[in-house]
Parts: sequence; C-alpha cells; structure tokens
Amino acid sequence: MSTTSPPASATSARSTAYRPSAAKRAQVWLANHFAILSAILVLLYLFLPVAYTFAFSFNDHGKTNIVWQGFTWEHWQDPCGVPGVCGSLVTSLQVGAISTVVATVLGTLMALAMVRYRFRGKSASNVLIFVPMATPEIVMGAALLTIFVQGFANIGIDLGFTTIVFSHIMFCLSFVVVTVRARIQSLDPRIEEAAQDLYASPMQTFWKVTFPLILPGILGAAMLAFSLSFDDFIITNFVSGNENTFPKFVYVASRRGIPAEANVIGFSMFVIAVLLVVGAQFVSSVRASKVKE
Amino acid sequence: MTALAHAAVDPGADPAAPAPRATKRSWTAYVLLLPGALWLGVFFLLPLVQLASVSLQSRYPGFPGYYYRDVNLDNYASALTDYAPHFARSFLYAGLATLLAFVVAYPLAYAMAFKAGRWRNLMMICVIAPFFTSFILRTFAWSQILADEGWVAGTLNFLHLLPGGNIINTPVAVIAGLTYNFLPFMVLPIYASLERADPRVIEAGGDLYANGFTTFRTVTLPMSMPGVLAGTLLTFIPAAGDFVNMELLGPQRGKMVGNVINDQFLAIPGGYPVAAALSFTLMAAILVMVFLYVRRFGTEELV
Amino acid sequence: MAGFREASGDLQLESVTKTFGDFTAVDDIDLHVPRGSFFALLGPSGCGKTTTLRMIAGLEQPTAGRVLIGDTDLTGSRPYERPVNTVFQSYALFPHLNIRDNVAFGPKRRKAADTAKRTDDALELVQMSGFATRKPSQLSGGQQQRVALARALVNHPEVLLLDEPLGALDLKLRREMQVELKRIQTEVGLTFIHVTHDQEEAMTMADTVAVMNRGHIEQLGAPAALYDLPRTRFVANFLGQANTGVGIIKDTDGDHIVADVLGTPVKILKSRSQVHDGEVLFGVRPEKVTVSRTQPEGAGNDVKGVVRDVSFLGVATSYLVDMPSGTTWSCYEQNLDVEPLDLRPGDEVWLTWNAGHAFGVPA
Repeated sequence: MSTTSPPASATSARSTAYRPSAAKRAQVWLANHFAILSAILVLLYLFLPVAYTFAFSFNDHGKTNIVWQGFTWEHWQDPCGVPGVCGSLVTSLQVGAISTVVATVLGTLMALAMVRYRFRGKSASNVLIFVPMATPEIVMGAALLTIFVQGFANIGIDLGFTTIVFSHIMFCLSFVVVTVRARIQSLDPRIEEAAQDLYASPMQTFWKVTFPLILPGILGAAMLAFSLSFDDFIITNFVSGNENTFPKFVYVASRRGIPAEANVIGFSMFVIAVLLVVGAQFVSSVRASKVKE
Repeated sequence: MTALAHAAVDPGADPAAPAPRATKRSWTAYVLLLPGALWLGVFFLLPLVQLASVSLQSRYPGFPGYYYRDVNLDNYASALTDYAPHFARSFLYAGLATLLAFVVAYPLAYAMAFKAGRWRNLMMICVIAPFFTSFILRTFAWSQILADEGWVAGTLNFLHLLPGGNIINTPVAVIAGLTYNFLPFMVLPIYASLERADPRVIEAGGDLYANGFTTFRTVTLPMSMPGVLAGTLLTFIPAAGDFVNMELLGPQRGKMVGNVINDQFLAIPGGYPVAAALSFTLMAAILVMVFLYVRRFGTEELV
Repeated sequence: MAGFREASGDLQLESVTKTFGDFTAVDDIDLHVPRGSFFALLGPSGCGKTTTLRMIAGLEQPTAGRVLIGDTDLTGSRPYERPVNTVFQSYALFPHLNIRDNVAFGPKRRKAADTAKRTDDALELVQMSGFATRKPSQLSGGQQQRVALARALVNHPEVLLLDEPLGALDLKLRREMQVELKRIQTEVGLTFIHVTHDQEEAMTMADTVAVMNRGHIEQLGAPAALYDLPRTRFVANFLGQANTGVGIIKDTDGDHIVADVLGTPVKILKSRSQVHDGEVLFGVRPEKVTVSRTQPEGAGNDVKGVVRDVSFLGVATSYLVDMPSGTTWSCYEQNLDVEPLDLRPGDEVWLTWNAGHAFGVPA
C-alpha cells in the first residue's frame, strides 16, 4: 500500500480536539436517557389497563364490577360461572382459527402472485388489497350487514357464525398479503435461481427453498390475522346476528358492568399470548446459539 | 492499483443488466390471485355497491323499516346537514388522538430503534402484549381509571386542576381512549422506518448541528417520515370511524359519526338509507384526506 | 430427472442475441470455449456479460441464436435440465440449510447414490470440511465463497459459471481466492467461465479473455496478447493504461506506417496497426516508454515533454508528462539505475519508445 496511516499522536490529538464539552456531554446524556425514560413511561401507560383488568378479576363485586369491593378467588375458580361467557369465548376461538387458516392461505397465494409475476391488472389488484385497510371498520360492517341481510339471507345464509367468518377472512386477508409480501420481497431472488441451477424443478424450488424461507412471514401473518379476528368487535357487531363472540359479550355486558369472569378470561388470553411469543423467541434464540457451538 | 481499489468498493453490480427479480408472465399468477381477489370482490366490493344502492333508497312514509329502490340524494343531504357536527367531532377527536399518539409513540419508537440494544425484542413484545387483552376490556378499564371515584380524577381534583370536576363522560376521555387504543399502529411503523435508518447518519447530523433538536428536525424526523405517514394513517382512519370509545368513555350527547351509523343501522327502524349515506360520506371523506395527505408528504411505501 | 440433458464437449454460442424491450443486452455473439479452459468474460457494468452468463445457465433464454455443449443444443431448456452450475454473485447460499445440506442440494435433486461422499469430497476440495454443520450466516465472506464453489463443483458440471465471484471480498482475500480458484480449476479440469469487471482478475486467472462492450465481444484472446496488441480503442483503454493520440496516416516506411499525431510523426508496424490509411489511434503502453533528460541517439520515436508529476512507488517510478499536443502521458520506469534520474515537476524530458511496441487501432 502506498498510503501510510497517520502517526498515533496525530490521531489522539484529533480525538481530544473533538471531545465535546462537559455541558454538551450532559446534554447528550440527558437526551439519551430522555428517550429511554419516556419509553418506560409509555410502556407503563400501555400496561395500566391490563393491570386494572387483572386486579378487577379478583374483585368480590355484586351486580357491577366497577368499584373495588374486596378480594376473592371465586372468579378464577370458575371462569365459566357466568352464563354465556365461555360460549362466546369458544365461538371467538373457532372464528379466529377458521379465519386465520383461510386468510393465511389465500393471502399467501396472492402475495406470491403480486411479487413473483407480471400480469395485467396488477395495479388494480394492489388497490383492491390496500383499500380495505384504509376503510373504517364501521363502513365495512355496515356494507356487509346490507349485503348479508338483503342478499345472502335470500340464499339461506342468515346472520351468525358463517357471516362472521366470511367477514373476518375478508378483513384479515389484506393484512396477510402485506405481511407475506414484505417477506417475499426481502428474499434474494438469486437464492431461488441457485436452487433451479442445482437441478430443482419449480415445484421443488418452492417447497425446498422458497417456502421454508417465507415461513416466518407466513406465521407472523397468521398470528396477526388471529389477533385481528379474535379482538374484532365493530364488524362482528354488525354481522353476528344472535351469535355472541367474546368481545361482543364484553361490550353488551359493559352496560351493566362486566363480570369479573370476563376479566379472568381476558387476562388469561393475554398471558397465553405473551407466553407463546416469548416461548417462540426463546426457542429460536436457543436454536441459534446451539448452531453456533 | 486504482482499478483494484475501485473494484473492491464496487461489488460489480450490473445496473443495466436485467434485474434478477425477473418476474414471469404466466397464467399461474391469475390462479394464485383468483381465490383471494374473488373473496375481496364478494365480501368487500359487492357489499360496498349494495351499500351505495341502499344509500340512494327512499323510505315508505308511515312504514318504518321499509324502503324502495330509488335515486334519492336526500339521504346525503341529511347526512351532511343533520350530522355535520358529528363528522366534525369525529375528525377533530381522531385528529387530536393521532397527534397525541404521535407525541407519545415517537420517543418509544426512537428508544426501541437506537437505545434498546439487546432489550429491543423485549420492548417489542411489551408494545404488542397489552393488545392481547380484549379491546373492549381495556377500554372499560379506562372508564374505571378515569372514573370520578378513581385516583386520576381524585388527584386532579385535589390539585384543583379539573375545572369540570370529572374526566369520564367528557370528550377528553374519548380522545384519551382513542389515543391509547391505536397507539401500537403509530409505534410500529415509526419503529420500522427508524430501524432501517443508519444511526451513523444521525450521528453525522449531530456533528453538523450543535443543537439536538435541530438534528432531530432535519435528520431523524425526515428519515422516519414514511413510518410517521403510515402511522398517522393507521391511527387516524380507525379512530375516525370508532364508536366504542365514545360509547364507553364519552358523554351522552355530542356523539361521533360512528355512533350515529351504529345506532341508525342497529337500533333505529328504517335507518338504513341515512346510515348508508353516512358510511359512504365517511369513507369518501377519509379517502380524500388520505389522498391529499399522501400527496403532500408522498411516499410509495404505503401501497 | 426426466428433462436432464447429458452433454459433453466445448461450449458454443451461435449468433446469440438477447433483448429486453428496446434494450439489446447481447448483440449477436459467437463464442467457442474449448473444454477444460478457464475463460473470462470481461467488461464494464452493463456490457452484457452477466446476461450472457445467465443464458448459458438457462436463467435467461436468448431472443435469437443457440447455446450448445458439444453437439447438444441446450437452447430453451430450463436451468435444472443443464449440466451447468453457477457460483452466484453474493453466493446465494440457502440460509435455512447448513453447509453440508447446501452442498448436497444438487446431488440430492439428481438422486445421486454417493451424495454423502461427494459432499465430503467437495468440502475437502475447498478446505471447508470443518464447517459442515454451520449455517451460512455463521461464515465469513471468503468461507461462504468457498461453500458456493463446492455447492456447484459437487455436481461435476460440464461448465462452471462464476458471476463476479470475488466481487464482495476484500483485496487480500481476492488475491488468495484467485490463486485458489486457479488451483481448483486445474485440479478438476472443468470448463470455467468467469464473469468480471476487474481486468486484473481476468488477466491473472484466465487462459482466454473476451472483452465485452455494449453487447459485443470487442476482442478475444490470451491475456498477454490482448494487452500487447489491442485491436479496438475500447480494449486499449479498458485493459491497462495506454498513452494514445489520434493521428492521420501520411506515409509508409518499409514495414511501418507513419502517422502524424498533432505535429509529431510516429511509426507503427504495419502488422500492429488495424488501419493503414486515414485516421488512426496511436498507442503505447506506459512501461514501454523511456524517460531521459537528453534526446537519445537514433531511437527514432521520441518526443519532448514537461514533467508534471513524479510518484515513487518503490519498484518503479511513475511519471506524468505533459506533451506538446496538450495530452498527458504516463510513463512507468523500473528503478534499475544506481543513480536515479531525480526529475522534478517542470523539468523538460525526452520520451522514447521502440516503434515495435506501438499499436494502432481505429480512431
């Protein structure tokens, strides 16, 4: 090399020259910790209602569960003790499972088409996928209600479980497409070319290379779809008829005071979901460290 | 020597060569697309068409709940005049909630992207986790937290900082609820765009401008603009159409447009045409706002 | 595999053209690569070299023309039907498979009976046996490069394609891998086609270099021959440095033509000039030019200039000399003398060269 590095003394002289003043450093320190401190406050704010939900699951309440009246294990011992609450939970889980599977399959296929192919009508398809996400839920709920009442009822499909599932698949679909599409786009197309170059037919290329690589995206999309479906109230409220989902049960009950059993179930769902997510993270990090050894 | 040095920097990309992301033209695309597109056609487009036709129907006078096919723009006139205050409230509350959510979300997203280090994944879980509890349960918890007997209102009253004497059943509670409920939709896109940004660029900015705020305004914020844009839309759109927060936290009078649509559809016989017109007006207003907003702060990353 | 085409022999491209819309990436190329040779396709970004490679691999189909190995026409066949394997730019290792499974991918698809042994041998060949259970993300760039090579070689392809394989490595590692690649090629005796934009890399490794520009092959030959006697202006400038000047051919002198370059008469051997009348681009390589303080006796081709810059490089000294024509020449003198010339910017010098070293290409 024809260039030589500057002598060490010059380097250190430069770093002293650039060292910020004490006041400046204090300011920087404060700025750094401002972000972290406010982040912690925001996280506490996010958890506050969850803490309330948890606390009031132990409330020994009478007719309404609004004001603290005393501690009891009663609601945790029999979460299904209130009529309808566990039925609505089962309905929500069923709706969530079916909608997630269908929306994830259809959405993944669409995402593959959108990234991997050129075709007439691609930008129209893009709009069709985007607009449902930009439409307020209440408008979708209203529109679905009119078509179900005025159209589907005539062919024997009344408001209920089926119409809830149809609607949930619809609004989950766009979110699945967007999530999976991002994953496929981040995939180096050369990796698929390499598979073909190494004698993999298009089918083998998909199942041996493409699919395993986009699987995390598909699983993420499925999780998103399930949580959207499980927690949806506004659209469900329009299209459910007499069927009760868990959010709908809670909403209806909220007028008289939500029974603490609902808090038990709501908080348990929270714990299960967090354990699943943390567990998945833990498994993947253990797997990664195992490979490193 | 120079040629080699140059070659070492340039990985030899061949820009004029065909993009390796060679997309294929084939019928397979339509086969893959068809089921999903059909679903969106039947359960999104078709219902909207039906809703549009309902919004133009007229009521049979004297027969509540019955109406006939018509091209009657009165429903829109009524939507825009009778319910103008409801629209105004919806957009005002949603706008304020979006602004508040931005102010609250940005430091969190910033800390996650640049300060969290190995705690990053944990913080991410913490942002999402509260949303595994039902939306309605959490909103109801806010009604307890903000209740007159609660510690928030108690403390503020004790300090004489609460002129009206209560928070619950006021627009303030509604805006607080909206802010809370849609916060992750603001945090996650901002975090995503900050995470993609190179922290060295921000350091360079800090080197060029002595003032931390100037660095933020001229370097950090513009870099996170796509995320801010996506976040504000993802917050504003559902907030503008929401009625649950108003129902659980808000006052008896002075509702938002979502409440009107909900009541007209589900509680008032013969309310369909006006409710449909209201829905369409709401959707149109939001689409126009989104369009203007995206054009002003434009980005292609949304679609 | 049903569609797999066995083929053996020289690689041949016959009038191959590839267009993308209005853009012609490769324009009517003919190429003959003898079996077992190390062949380099050299050219700047966008010259069509990668497209040519992709057509040989089957990742693109030619708009016109044929691709053959031996007597087997491969035109129209898919990449997985060809006895051709590629080492991709940035390697394209399968991130979800460990190193062994990456290398075994090809043999498994072809249901080779001795997959395990072949995989071990290939890893041995690239000295990566100790890394078989790692994931690609746990390897350095140079190690990934070796795995990519093993993954292609394990299939014993008839032709191995290398797409800028060393582009992402740092200088020292590039040098090492250049030697390594050459060793492996000699060991396995396969046809290697190496695409690169780095002239030094092409010249040190390949038996034959084809210089491409704008979809054409400008010139093809052994590296030394290309450097010594470029036949186009592009090759003269792309391969190494050249001191050039546009001249008009005025006369002949025995075996030489005499051209007038902005007032200076220069001689070029007739056999070393591609044009014999009209305009010519005269050129001479920097190391062929001698710098002296006084006009040398009887050398013939000399011109007086003013030193602009002197760089001492150790083994040699490089001079930039302003010529009366207004151009700047570069001269490269080995430091053989006990007493150096000790020239400084502003000094007047004479530049001389042997007329036999000059070349002429179309201006």
